Amino acid sequence: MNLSFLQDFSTLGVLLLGAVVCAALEVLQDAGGARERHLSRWAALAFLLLAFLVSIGFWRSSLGPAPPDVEHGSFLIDRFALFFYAAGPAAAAAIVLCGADLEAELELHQPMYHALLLVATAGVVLTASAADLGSLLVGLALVALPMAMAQGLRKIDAAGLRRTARSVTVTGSLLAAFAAGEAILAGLGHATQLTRLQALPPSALLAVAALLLVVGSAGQLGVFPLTRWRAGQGEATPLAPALAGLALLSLAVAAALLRLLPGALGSQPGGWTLTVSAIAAATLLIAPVLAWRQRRLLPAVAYLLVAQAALVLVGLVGPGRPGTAAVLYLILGLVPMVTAALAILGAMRLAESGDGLSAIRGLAARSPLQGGLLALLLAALGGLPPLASFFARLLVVETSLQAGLGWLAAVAVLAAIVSAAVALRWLLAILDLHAEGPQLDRPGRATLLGLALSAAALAGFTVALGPLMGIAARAALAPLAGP
Amino acid sequence: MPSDISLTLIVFAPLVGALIVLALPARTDLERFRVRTTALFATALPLAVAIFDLLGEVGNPAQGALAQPSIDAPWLRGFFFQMDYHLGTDGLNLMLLFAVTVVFPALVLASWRQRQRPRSHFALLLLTEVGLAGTMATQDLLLLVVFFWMPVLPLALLVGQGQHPRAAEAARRVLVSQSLGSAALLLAALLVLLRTGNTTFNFTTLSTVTPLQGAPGLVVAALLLFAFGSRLAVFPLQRWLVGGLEAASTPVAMLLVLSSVPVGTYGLVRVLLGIDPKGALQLVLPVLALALVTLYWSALAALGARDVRRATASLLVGVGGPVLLGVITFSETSLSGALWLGFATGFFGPLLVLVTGAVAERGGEGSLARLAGRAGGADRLRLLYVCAAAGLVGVPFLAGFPGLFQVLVGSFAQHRFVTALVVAGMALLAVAAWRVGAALFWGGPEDEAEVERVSDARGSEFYAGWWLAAAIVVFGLTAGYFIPYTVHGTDLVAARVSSLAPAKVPGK
Repeated sequence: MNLSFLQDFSTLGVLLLGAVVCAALEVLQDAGGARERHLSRWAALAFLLLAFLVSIGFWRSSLGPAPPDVEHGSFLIDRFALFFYAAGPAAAAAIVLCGADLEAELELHQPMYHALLLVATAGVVLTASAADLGSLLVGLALVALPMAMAQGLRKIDAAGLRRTARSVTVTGSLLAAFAAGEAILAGLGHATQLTRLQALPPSALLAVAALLLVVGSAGQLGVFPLTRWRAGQGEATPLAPALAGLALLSLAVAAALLRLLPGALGSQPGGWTLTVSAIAAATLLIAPVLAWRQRRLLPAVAYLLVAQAALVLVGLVGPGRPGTAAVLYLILGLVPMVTAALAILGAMRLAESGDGLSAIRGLAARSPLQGGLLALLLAALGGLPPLASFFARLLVVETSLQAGLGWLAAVAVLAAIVSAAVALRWLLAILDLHAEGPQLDRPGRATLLGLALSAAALAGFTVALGPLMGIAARAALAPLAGP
Repeated sequence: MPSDISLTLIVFAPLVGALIVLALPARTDLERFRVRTTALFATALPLAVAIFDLLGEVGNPAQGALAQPSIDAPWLRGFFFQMDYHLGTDGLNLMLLFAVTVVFPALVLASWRQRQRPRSHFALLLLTEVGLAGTMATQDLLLLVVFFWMPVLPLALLVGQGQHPRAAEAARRVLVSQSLGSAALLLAALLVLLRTGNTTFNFTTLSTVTPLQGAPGLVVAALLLFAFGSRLAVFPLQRWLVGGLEAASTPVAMLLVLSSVPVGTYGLVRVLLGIDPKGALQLVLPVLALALVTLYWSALAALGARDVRRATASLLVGVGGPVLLGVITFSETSLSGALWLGFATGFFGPLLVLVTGAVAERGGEGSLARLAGRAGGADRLRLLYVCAAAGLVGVPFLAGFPGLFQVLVGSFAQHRFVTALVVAGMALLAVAAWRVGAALFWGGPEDEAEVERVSDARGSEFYAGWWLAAAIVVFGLTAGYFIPYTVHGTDLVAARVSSLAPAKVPGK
C-alpha cells in the first residue's frame, strides 16, 4: 500500500492536529485555566515549528532543476506552494510570539484563538496548493472565516459584538463574491481546473470575473472599496486576531491571486490586468491619504498596512517570473511589519496609555525598546531606505513599468511619497527626546522574542534581498507554468 | 588598490559603533565617558583604514581615472534590473571619502561635553557617518540613493534635539527638503533605467551607455540638479541649511555642513555629469545663473545678517556658487576644482561653525551687535576663525585655494563674464567674512565693564578645532600631491561631455 500521501499531507495534518489539541485544551481548561492557556501557546508554537520543518524538508527535496511536483486531485505541492508552506507557519509562529502579551484580551479563549490560528495557517497551505477553483475558495475561506470569528472571542460590550458580527458578515460576503467570480471563470472556460483556463480571451465577462475575484479576495486585506472596513478591525475587538488575520490573509490572497491571474489566465493586456490595476490605484490613492488624516497610531498603521498590501495587486500585473518574485518578496516583508505592529500596539493597548500623537511623543526616550521598534516599524511602513520595504516598493514599481503601466507606477510612487510623509510625521513625534510621559511595561519573554525576530526580519530582509529574491524567483516558476 | 574589506570597514564600522553605543549604559560620568570613547574609536577606525589603505592610491595618479573595485558582489539578480554591493574609489570620490573620515573624529571631540542623552547623540552621529561614507564609496547608483537618504533622518533628529526655540521647525525643514531631494534622485535613477533600457545601476556601465537625449535627458538632469542642489544648499534651496545651522547645537551644525557641500558637489559630478551629460549640457545657462545668484545672495545675506549663526550659514552657502561654476564648465580642471572645493569645505565649513558657535553659545546669544568684541580675548578662537575664513575665501596655501583657483582657471576660457562675476562675488564674501570676524574678535563692546568676555577654546573643543585647522593647512600645502589623482578622476567625465558637445566645450 502506497502511504506516500501521508507524507505529502504532513504539513496540513500537523497544523490541523495542532488545532485539535488547542481546541481540546479550551474544552478541558478549569475555572482559572492559566495552565491550559500557557500550554496551548507552546503547543501551537510546537506544531507550527514542526509544520515549518516539514515544509523545509519538502523545499530541500525540490531544489533540483526539475522539481518533484506532487499532485493529489486538486491538491498540488510544487515550489510555489512550498514557499507558502514555509512562510505560513513561520508567520503564524511570529504572530503567536508577538501577540503573547496581548492574548490577555481574549480572556479565557486563548486556546480557541490558537486553534483558529492553526486552522487559518492550514488554510494558507491549502490555498497555495490549490489546483482548481473549488479548493482555492475552500482554502481562502479557511483563512478568512476563523480569523473573523476569532474577533468575537472577547464579548465585552455590544459594540464589540456588533463589529464582530459585521466582520463575519463582510468576510462571508467577500467569499461569496469570490465564489461568483470563480463561477463566471468556470463558465467561460468550461472547467474548474486552473490549467484549463489559460486560453480565455479578453472579454467584459472576464473583467467582471476579475473584479469579483480581486474584491472578494484582496478586499479582505482592505483594498478599495473595503479600506475603511479593514482599518477599523481591532478597534473595539481584540487586536491579535485582527492583525493575525491581516498577515495570514495577505499570504493566502497573494497565493490565490498569483495562481489564478498571472498563473492560470496569463498576463494578457486588456484582460484582467486593467481591472486589477484600477483597484490597486484606487487603494494606493486612498489608503495613504486616510493614514495622513489619522491622529491615532492604530488606524494610521492600519491604513499604511493596507497601502502596503495593495502593492500586491500592482505586482500582479507584472510580466513573467520577476513580477511574481517581486510579489512574493513584498509579502515576505509585509509579515514582520504586521507582527511588529501587533507587539507594539498591543503593549500600548495593555498600558492604556492611548495612541494619539501626544501620547506617542517621546516614546523612544521613555521606552527605548518599544519606541525604537515602533520607529523601525514606521520606517518600514513608510518604505524608507534602506529597509526591505523600500526595495519591495522599488521592485513592484519596476514591475509595473515593465508591464507598460507607467501610470500605475506613478500612482505607486505617489502613494510611497505620502506613506513616507505619514511615517516621518509619526517618527518625529516618537523620537522627540524632549517630551515627557508614562513608560510602557517591558514585554514578556515570548513577546520580546517575537519582537526581536520581527526587527531582525525588518532589517535583515534588506541584506538578504538577493537570496530571498532567488528563493522567490524559484518559487515563481510554478504558477506561471500552470499546475 | 584597496583591499576587499577596507571600504566595507570604513562605511560600516561606525554602524557597529552606533549599536555598541546604544547598548552601553550612560548613567554615571564613567559610563558616559565610555560612550564617548567608543564613539571616538568608531570614527578613528575608518580614519586609520583610510590613511593606511586608501591614501597610498594617490601616489599613482593614473589610477584615479577608473574605479578601483574594493568589493563588487552581486546583490540582486534575476530581476528586471541588477544591483550590486559595489564599493570602490577613484579620483572623484577618494579625497571626499577621506575628508569624511578625517572630520568625524573632530565632530566627536566637539561633542565631548554632550551631557544630555549622549547615547542617542553619538549613535545618530555615527549613523550619519555611515550614510556619508557610503554615499562617497559606492559605485552603484541605487546603493547611492540608499546611502544618500540614510543620514537625513539622523540629521533631522539631531537638529531637533537642539535647545533653540526653532529647533523642531528646522528639523522638519531638514527632513522634508532632503527627503524630497532623495525622492528626486530615486525618480531620476528609475527614469534613467527605463529610458536607456539598461539593466544595471553600475556607474561604469551607466557612464558608457548612450546618454539620454532631448526631454527625458532634461527631466532627469533637472531632477538630479534638484536632488544635489538641495543638498549643496544652492539658492533657493538653502533654507534647510541656514535654518539648521541657526537652530542646531554646534557639533550638529558642523555635521550639517559636512553633509551638505561635499555630498552635493560629489553628486553633481558623479551622477549628473556621469550618467546624464546631455541633460547637463541643456542646463548650462540656468546653472550659471544659479551659481551667481547663490554666491551673491550668500554674500549679501551674510553682510546683512544680525545673527552670528545666520551669518556663518550664509557664508557657507556661498561655496555653492564656485562649485556650480566648476561643475557646469565641464573641463577637467574646473571639475577637479569643484571636487577639491567640496573636499576643503569639509574642513573649513565645520571649523567656521565651531568657532562662531562656540562664541554664540558661551556668549549666551546670537546677536552680532551684542556679541561685538566679546571674543576679543579668545586668541585661539580668533586664530581658528582666521584659518577657517581664509580657507573659505581662497587664501593661498590653505585647502580652499587650490579648489577655487582650479575652478576660476578652468572656467575662465569658457565663461569669462561669469567667472569675473564669481571673482567679484568671492571678494564680497570675503568682506562679509571679515565683517563677522571683526565684529566678534576685534570690535569693542560699548560698555566693557558690564559685558562678560567669552572664554577661549580649551579641552576637546580646542582639539577638534586644531584638528580641522591642521587639515586646512596640511591639505593646502600638499595639494599638489593629491590634485593630479583628482584630475585623472575627472578625465572620463570631461571627455564624455566634450565628445557630446565638441563645439562648445573645450577639451583638456
